[in-house]
Amino acid sequence: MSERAQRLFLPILIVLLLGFLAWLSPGVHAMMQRRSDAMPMSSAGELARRNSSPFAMILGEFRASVSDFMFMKTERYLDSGIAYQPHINVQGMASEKAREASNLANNSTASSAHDDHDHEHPATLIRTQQGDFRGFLGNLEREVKPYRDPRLGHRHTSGEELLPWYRLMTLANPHQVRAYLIGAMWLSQQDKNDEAIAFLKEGIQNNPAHPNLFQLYLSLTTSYVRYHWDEKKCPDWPKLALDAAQKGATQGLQERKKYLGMSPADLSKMPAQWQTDQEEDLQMCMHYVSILQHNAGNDAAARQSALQLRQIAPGLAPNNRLLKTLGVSN
Amino acid sequence: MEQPSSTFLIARTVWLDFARRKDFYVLLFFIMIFVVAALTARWMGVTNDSAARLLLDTGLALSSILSIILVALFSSRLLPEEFESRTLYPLLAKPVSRMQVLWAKFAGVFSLGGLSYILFLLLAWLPAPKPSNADDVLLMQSAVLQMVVLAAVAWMVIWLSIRIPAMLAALIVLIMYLVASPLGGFVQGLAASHSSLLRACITHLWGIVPDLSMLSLFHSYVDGASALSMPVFLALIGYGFGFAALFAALGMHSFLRKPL
Repeated sequence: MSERAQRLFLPILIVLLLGFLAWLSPGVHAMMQRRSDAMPMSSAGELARRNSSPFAMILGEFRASVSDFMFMKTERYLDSGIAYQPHINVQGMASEKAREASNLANNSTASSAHDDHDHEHPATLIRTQQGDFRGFLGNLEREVKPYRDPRLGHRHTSGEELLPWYRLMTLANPHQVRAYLIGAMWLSQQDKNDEAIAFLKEGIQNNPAHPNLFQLYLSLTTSYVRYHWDEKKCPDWPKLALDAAQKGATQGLQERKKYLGMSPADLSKMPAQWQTDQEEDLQMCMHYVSILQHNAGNDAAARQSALQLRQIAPGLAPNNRLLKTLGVSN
Repeated sequence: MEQPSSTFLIARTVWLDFARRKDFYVLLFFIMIFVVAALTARWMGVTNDSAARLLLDTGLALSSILSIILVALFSSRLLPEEFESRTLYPLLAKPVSRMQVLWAKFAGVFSLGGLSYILFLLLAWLPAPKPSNADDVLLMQSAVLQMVVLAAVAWMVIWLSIRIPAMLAALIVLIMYLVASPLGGFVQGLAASHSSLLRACITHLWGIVPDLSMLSLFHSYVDGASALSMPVFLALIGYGFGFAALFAALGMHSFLRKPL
């Protein structure tokens, strides 16, 4: 090799490697993102695992983990500083939305799901005196740290002081969909429905390709439906709610199909990687579409969407009642 | 009797230096704290799935980050100390080329980093309770990818330490390892609001910034993800090797042209 070739070899190699990496990197990043998206991120177990990972903070998932840490912080604030085993789950949230939809269908006033949350008795992280082998040290910890006998149930604060945490959480990680969902729920409970809607819209804007986008649309629908009791504030609420519910139902159905293998025969089966809360939220979204269409006087469209929902959930009683009202026999 | 090669002899000086310094023992102390914590948790009967995940996640993260710190610290001192103490002159007076010196130094630090990682990994993995759905093939793949990360980190620090102060070089590489991923997300977010051409340009340009934390798969292992398919695994290996080769070439280029 000539001297000139020797001198040029390394610079040429460096340029070639830079080109190779510029070509390869986006593909590799996209591949890993797809793999990460395919993980069942919305399952309660997955969320708990991610919440309990202190080292994720310093190892590449900095923003997401700071956000998760804040999420844990809100739960502690909610329980008056007392540390309980994780007990708030996404299934509970799904049930609340189901109740809201049922209230709309029955035209009754809504009750908060959180009001009856005290029925559970989750264990505290600090052991009870009976289950604590540490004797004096255990007594000392129970005296100096926030503690309440788990048999007495847990007391919730009003939730107002949680609101800044949800703002920070979503600033730290704009893809934290559950922070948008729960933050909006608390805003609504504080009689700040307008802010809840703005918060959810921000979540939708930041997560256009998130697999749980339909849950944000469902919450948005629920928030619009709350104007049902004070129509002066938002006279257009039925139209806006219907629009949100339709978008949610469309996206949710697409997402559900990804797990199903597209077979129409499988429609009534719940897909393996699909969680109960996702299924219930999708059903509620579709049910909202039917109810809102029916309330708007568009019974043909209501019938169509209710029949579509029956394919997925043949035993869903509110939907079957609505179908009966719409003149569809079993 | 056959004489050991000059490359081996230079690599051996790195190993001797490694034994003489206390860095490894300090890091070993940290992993031993974890071992004691994991054994205590087992002794106390903490074996449920979420506790197992927390412990294993912590242990595997420790083994990964500590081995990276070790390699970064050692690589940063390989050449600057030779320059300062002028011990490089007698070495280069012998029949060894600069290229050989550089490769031997890398081989020394890479072998030590790799062995330390395997030791840390075993110390983290063995005492921790295992989650029910962890895929051991993914753990093996993760270990192989971590070796590639160590090679890339070593070359990156060696290159930078020729150009800037040693500790600064190590610090820059460690910070880059930690922040490249969130910064990448931020850059992608910024790019998303631009035209598709500009977005593609930004994405490809950002591609030359090493995001080596992407090759750390222990979180996925603990979360119960399945093993990587062969194309994905090979793509990740290619990505890591690409950066290792790039920084090796940059290091050689800088070292060969450095006036002594």
